[in-house]
Formats: sequence, structure tokens, C-alpha cells
Amino acid sequence: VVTGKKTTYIVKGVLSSLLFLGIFLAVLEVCARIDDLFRYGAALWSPYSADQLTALDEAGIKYNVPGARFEKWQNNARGFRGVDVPLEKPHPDTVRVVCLGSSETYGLFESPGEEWPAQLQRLLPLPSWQIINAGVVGIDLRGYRAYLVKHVLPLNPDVVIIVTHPNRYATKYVRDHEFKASAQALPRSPGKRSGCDPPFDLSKQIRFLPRFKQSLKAGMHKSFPAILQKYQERDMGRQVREIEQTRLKGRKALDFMPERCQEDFRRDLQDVVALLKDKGIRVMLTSYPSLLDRSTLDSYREIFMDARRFSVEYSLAGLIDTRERLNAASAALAVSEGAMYADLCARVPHDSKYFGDGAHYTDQGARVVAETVADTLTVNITKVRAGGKTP
Amino acid sequence: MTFTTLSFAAFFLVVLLVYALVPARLRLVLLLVASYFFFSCLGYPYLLLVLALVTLIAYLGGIMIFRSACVRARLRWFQGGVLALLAQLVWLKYLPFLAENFNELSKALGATFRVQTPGHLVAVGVSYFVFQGISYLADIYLELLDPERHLGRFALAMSFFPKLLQGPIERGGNILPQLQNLSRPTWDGLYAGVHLFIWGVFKKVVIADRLAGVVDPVYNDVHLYTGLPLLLATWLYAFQIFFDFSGYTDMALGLGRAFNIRLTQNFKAPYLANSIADFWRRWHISLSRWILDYLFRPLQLSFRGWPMLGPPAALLIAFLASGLWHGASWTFVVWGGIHGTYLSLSILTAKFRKKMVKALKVEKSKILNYWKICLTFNLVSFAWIFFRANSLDDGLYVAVQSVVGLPETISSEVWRQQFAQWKLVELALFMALVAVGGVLDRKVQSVDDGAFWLIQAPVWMRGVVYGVLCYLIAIHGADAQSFIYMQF
Repeated sequence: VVTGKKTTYIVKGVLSSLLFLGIFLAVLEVCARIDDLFRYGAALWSPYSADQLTALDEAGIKYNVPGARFEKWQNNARGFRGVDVPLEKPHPDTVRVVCLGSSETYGLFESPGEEWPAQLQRLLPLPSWQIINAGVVGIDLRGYRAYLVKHVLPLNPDVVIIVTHPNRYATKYVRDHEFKASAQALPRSPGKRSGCDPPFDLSKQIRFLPRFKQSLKAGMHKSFPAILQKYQERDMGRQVREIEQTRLKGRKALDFMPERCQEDFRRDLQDVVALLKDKGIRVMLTSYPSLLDRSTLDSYREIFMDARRFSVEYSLAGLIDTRERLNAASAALAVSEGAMYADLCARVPHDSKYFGDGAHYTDQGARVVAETVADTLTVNITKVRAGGKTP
Repeated sequence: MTFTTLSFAAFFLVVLLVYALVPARLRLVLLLVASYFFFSCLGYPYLLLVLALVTLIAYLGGIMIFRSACVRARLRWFQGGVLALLAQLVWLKYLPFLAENFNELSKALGATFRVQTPGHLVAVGVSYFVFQGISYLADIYLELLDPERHLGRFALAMSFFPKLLQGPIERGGNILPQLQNLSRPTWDGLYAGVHLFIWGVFKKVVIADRLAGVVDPVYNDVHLYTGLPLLLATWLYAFQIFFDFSGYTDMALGLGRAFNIRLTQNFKAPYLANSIADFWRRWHISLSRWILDYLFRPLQLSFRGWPMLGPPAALLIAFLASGLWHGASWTFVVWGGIHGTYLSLSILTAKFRKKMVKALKVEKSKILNYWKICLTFNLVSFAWIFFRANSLDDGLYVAVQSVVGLPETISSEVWRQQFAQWKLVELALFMALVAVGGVLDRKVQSVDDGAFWLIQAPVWMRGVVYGVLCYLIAIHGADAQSFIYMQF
């Protein structure tokens, strides 16, 4: 009798614990969904992820889905980040500036309204200037031409600022040439999004888990920064090794970017600049700033590792070499094509105050970028308006 | 390392685990070492010395008072001990304030003599353990308590880490007997402790810190606002400080329960008080009892020659001292003075008010009771203005402008402009959360032994409530702010 009672007691205990756990987890999920509904207007039951923000068109070019929203990121009716833009300029003399780039332009770590094009608009206010953020997460220089024709030229911009991600370009290049066989055989790089409908993944539908992970990370960063950094380094190292094993198949990561890649980059960029110049649009090129530099290798090792997950074909030295050489190519092209040039690398310090990771800005970093671009624009455009010549 | 950090969670779990595993004779040593380690994590090594010194003074003082046969010697030991303890507090907390005011006075009198103002020192927790030391000496002097002979036990009573930074100010009579036999943690104790701790974290991290996000911008630049925003910020501050401090207390009580040590309950739904006297029976109970027993009563005794004005004067002095205890600033003194004045006036007008109520035949009226609660809350909120204000000027500005500017800001464009940044929907949701928090908190406090009401709730309700609490804590926990009362 005693054993039976004990068993009943244990079974009851286990069942009530399971019931508690089930209800507890369900409530966490419901809370996360209600939170999304209140904060971001997200639907309660449909899938909700950053994949909804972008899609691929028939030509395979990535674009922002008009009106799409995920958390703090929101596209307007034309698929640009920020407020809606009518085709007509607010004033005949308004200088319409379109900022074309990828996630660093679209905005990632910045608070809403603090991405650099939005800050640029505050520095150069309407109606004299109208700034349009045409950044698309994951877009590459190779897709710029088609994207410009389809989405940007209909806006009749006066100036287009072109920001190109050197490492992404160079990585794609070596995947298409040097590492072709292994790239075809292997899955997409981590974090890369596709516009196609992704297969149903239950773990992606659980909304409270990413938030808890983020909070835990923030708490760890506050309480145990050294331990967190060590863990991240080790974790990144492990991931990089795994990707290396599957992608490089025993080959050595490149310490230098292939010469031919630089030539291709220059040619592709020149194509884009020529297209815009043909339409009478002024062009601004920029260097691509990054937290990662030869001087910061030891301070931000985990961020270097993170960058390598996306460009495993290059070693750390290779990543730095790529950025330096393609930045130099942009600068040289700006001179030869008579385009404006904003040397962002020279202005944004290599400090984590300005970068949320290797390449994406914090509010402060975006501020420096916006100021640099604003300085370049005001000097050059004012000169033109005053009867001077476009540099 | 405050209660809302992961480092504290790790520290606590390690201490609890070791505490459960070590033999009984080592538990006291473990808790003592853990408490000193916890205090050392603040990063001010001199505070450890002060804590040790205060402990030694109170310990030896207690024994000497007890051993002294003659009344005069007992009194001398008592006075000496209290002075030595107060000297620590003055040195750490009040010297710059005293020097600044001396220099101001000297300047006002036209004198050229100035004293050098010493630098401000961090004195986290000192006010709490100094007051605990004084109460210990007083209790022995009044023969309410025998001195503790075991230095380690006494040191732990003074430094037990859950109450070290913000109290409750424990009496020797409550904590010392519990340290005689430190038993292994029990499931009931742990269960109740964890529940109380989570509730405390929720009150602090979710409610108080969110309210701070509305209150701080207003109080940090009061001259940008007028009328309703100032009034609303003041009311919200009343809730912020309650949820902040009572949240800490719940966490401290919960941590204590995990070690089978019951600390003093510090709050009993204070904003439901129907008079200022009632408010002080419900707010920061361990301090108000301390002020009552060790300051007001002796003063009242000294003023017994003035039957009419003696008690009000004693109250005024006691509360001015209470204000000064909170911080070396005139804003705190004014806050204490306002409460002292309220209480003095309530004594002086007691007969008249009683007659009025009788004449109006509303002695048992519920409406009268609600009116009293509402009035008390507003009087308390008015005093909070000076408690929160960054300077006396700011406090006066808020006190005047929140009333004078009110007609201008209600139903006008100014009102809309000033509130646009506050996001009214969020504010309304938040007020609902505050109300729910307040109601549930009353239930927590209503359980005699401090056990959490949810323990008795059905499983599904616990699942729902803890799901909501944990979600909100996880979302807001990473940007938890420091506790308001830690500065005192």
C-alpha cells in the first residue's frame, strides 16, 4: 500500500511538473507573439522572420519586399527603408540622393531611424535634400546594375551613392573561379537569405528562443565579458573549422585576393558608374570601413572569426588584403571617372563603439558615416550649384 | 554584482550548493566568507575594513555594556559605541556635506575661513549596517538582548549578503537566534525563496526600471516641463521607488529563505495607508521602527516636560534625521522635514479632525477611507518630489509648476506636445502593469510568513504567471539599472 501511494505521488509529481513546463513554455511563446504584435504589428500566427524583408526577382536579383516589416526593420511601399517616397520631388530644386549598398546601408544594429541614410537626411534636411535608403541586405555589386535599372532609375535621382562590400564581392569571385567545385557541392554560406520560400523549420517558428538567447548574451556581456569573448572565439573557431573542412576540402585559405578579382571588381563598378553617368546622375563612391584591421586583429579576434564564416575561402590576412585593395580600386575609379569620393575608412575609427560587428555600424558609427557623406555632398553639390564643375 | 546580474546568480548558486554540502559547523564560515566576498565585489576595499570595524565596535561594545555593573559605566560604553559607529558613517558619508555647508555659512557670515572639502566616498550599505550596530548596542543597553559571544556569528548577522546593501535593518533579536543552528536548505525554503526572488526581480527589472524610463528624463531636466507631465512623473516616481525598493527586499527575503533565514518584511502595501502614520507603519518598516524605537521614543521622553509640543517636536527631529540618513543633501533633509511636519500636524490636529468626523457622522464611511488613502498618497508623492529632485531648486520648481502649470497643460496643444514622446499607449499599458503588480504584491505581503501566494495556486496558474513573469524579466533583464536605495 505504501509503495503504491509513493508511486502515485511520484507519478502525480511528474505529471504536474510536465504540465507546468508545457504551460510555461506555451505562455513564453504567446508572450513573444503578443510582444511582436504590439511592438511591430506582426501577425500572431503566421511565420515571422527576417526572410520576409527581401526576395529574388525573375532575374535572380535581390530586392526589398514593399511594405514588409520585421521587428525594427520596415520597407516602405517602394521597398526602400524609411518613409514613403513619391515619384515627384518635394521641390523642383530638391537634390534627390539614393544610397545604394547592402546591410551596412539598409541598417542592422542601429536604432530605428539611426541608419546612416536616415541620419544623413537629418544633416541635409528636406526640401533641399531628399535621401533615399536603397540598401538591400545581401545584394552584391554584380546585382547593382539590374537593381538600379529596375528600382532606382525610375526615381530620377540626382546623386547615387554606391557602397560596395569588398569581401562579399571577392568571396563570390573565388567561389565562382578558384573554389568552384567545392562551392557547388556545398550548402549556402551561413546566414545567407533566399527570396524563395524556405522549407518549414519549426525551430524558426519559436519566437521566444532568439530573444532569450539575446538577453542571455547581453547579460553575459555585462557580467562575464571575458568568458563570453573566450566562448565566442572558441565557438566561432569551431564553426569556421567545420566550414573549412566542407568547403576548402584540404586547400589553404587565400592570404591574398587574386589579381583578376580586382580587375573584375573595377570593371563591374565602372559599368555601374557609366550607367549612371549616361543618365546624367552624379555618382559618389566610398571606401568600405570595417572594424577589422591589421591593428585590431588581437582585440576583436571573435569578430574576425565571424567574418570568416562568410568568407572562409580567405584567411584573416586575405580578408584584410581584399578590403584594402578593393577600397583602393574604388578610390582610383572615383578619380578616373570624376565621381565624388567619401573615404569612410579614414573617418570611422576601428573601435567597437562604432561597429556592432565587423562591418555594421552602431548609431555612433552611422553618425560618422552620415557626417562624412554629408561633407562630401555639400562641398561638391554646392560647388556645382554655384556654377563650378563636378569634380 | 547586484542581485539582477548573471554574476550574482552564479555566485548564489555556488554558495547555495556548497552550503548544502558542507557540514553544519562550516556553514557559518561559508556564509561569512561569501558575504565578505560579495561586499568586496563592489570594488571598494575600504568598505570591507569599515564593515569589519563596525562589526568589532558593536561586538566589543555589546560585551562591555553587558559586563559593566554600574549604570554610568553601561551608559558610557553605550554612548562610546554609538559615537564610534556614527563616526564611521560621518567620515564616509557626511564629511563633504558638512564641509560644504560650513564653507557656505562662513561665506554668508563674511568670514574668510574655509575648510578643505574632502572627496566623496562610496558608502554602499554603510548606513544599513551602522544602524544595525547601533540597534544591537541599544538593545543590550536596554536589556532586551544578551550580547552575542561568538564573533563569527555576530559578524555574519552584520554582513549576511542578502541584506548587506539595502537592508532590511535587522534587529539582533531576530537574526542572531536564526544563526545558532544553520540547517541544510529545505525544498520548502528553496521553493518559497525562488518564488519570492523572481517576484522581486519582476518588480525591479520590469516595473521599476520601465517607470524610470519615463521619470528620469523629466526629473533630469525639469525646466523643460510644466504642469501635468511633472505631476505624472511625480506619481510614477512614487511607484518606481516602491517597486524598486520592495523588489530588492523581496529578493533579499527570498535569498534568506533559501538558507532558512527569515529576514524582516519591509513593506505592507504602503500606498494603501490611510494616514501618514499608517504609511510609516507600512513603508521601509525596519527603518521606521528603528527611528521610532531609538530616536523618537528617547526624544519624546526628553521632551515629556512639554505635553503639547513635545511629541510633534520629537517627530520633526526624528524625521529630519531620517532624511539625513538617506543622503547628505538638503533635498533629503527637506523630504524628512515634510514627513515630520505631516506627522506633527496630524498630532496637533487629531482632536479637531476627530470632532469633525463625528459631527459629519462619517466615522465608518468607506468613501472617507478612500479619500484618506488618496490624500495620503498625494501627500507622500509631494514629499517624493524633494527626494527625487537633483537639487532643492529643481524640487521647488516641480512642487510649484506641477500645480501652477496644470490648467495650461490640460487639454491643450502643450499637453499633446509634451506627451507625444511618452507614447501614451505604452504608458497606459504600463499603468495597468503597475496596478496588477500592486494588487499581486499586496497578496504577497498578506501572507504571514512571507511565502508567496502562488505557491498555493493550481499548477496551470503557476505556469501562466511564471511564463509571463519570466518572459518580461528575460526581455528587460539585460538592461537592469542600479537600485535607488543602494545609494543610501
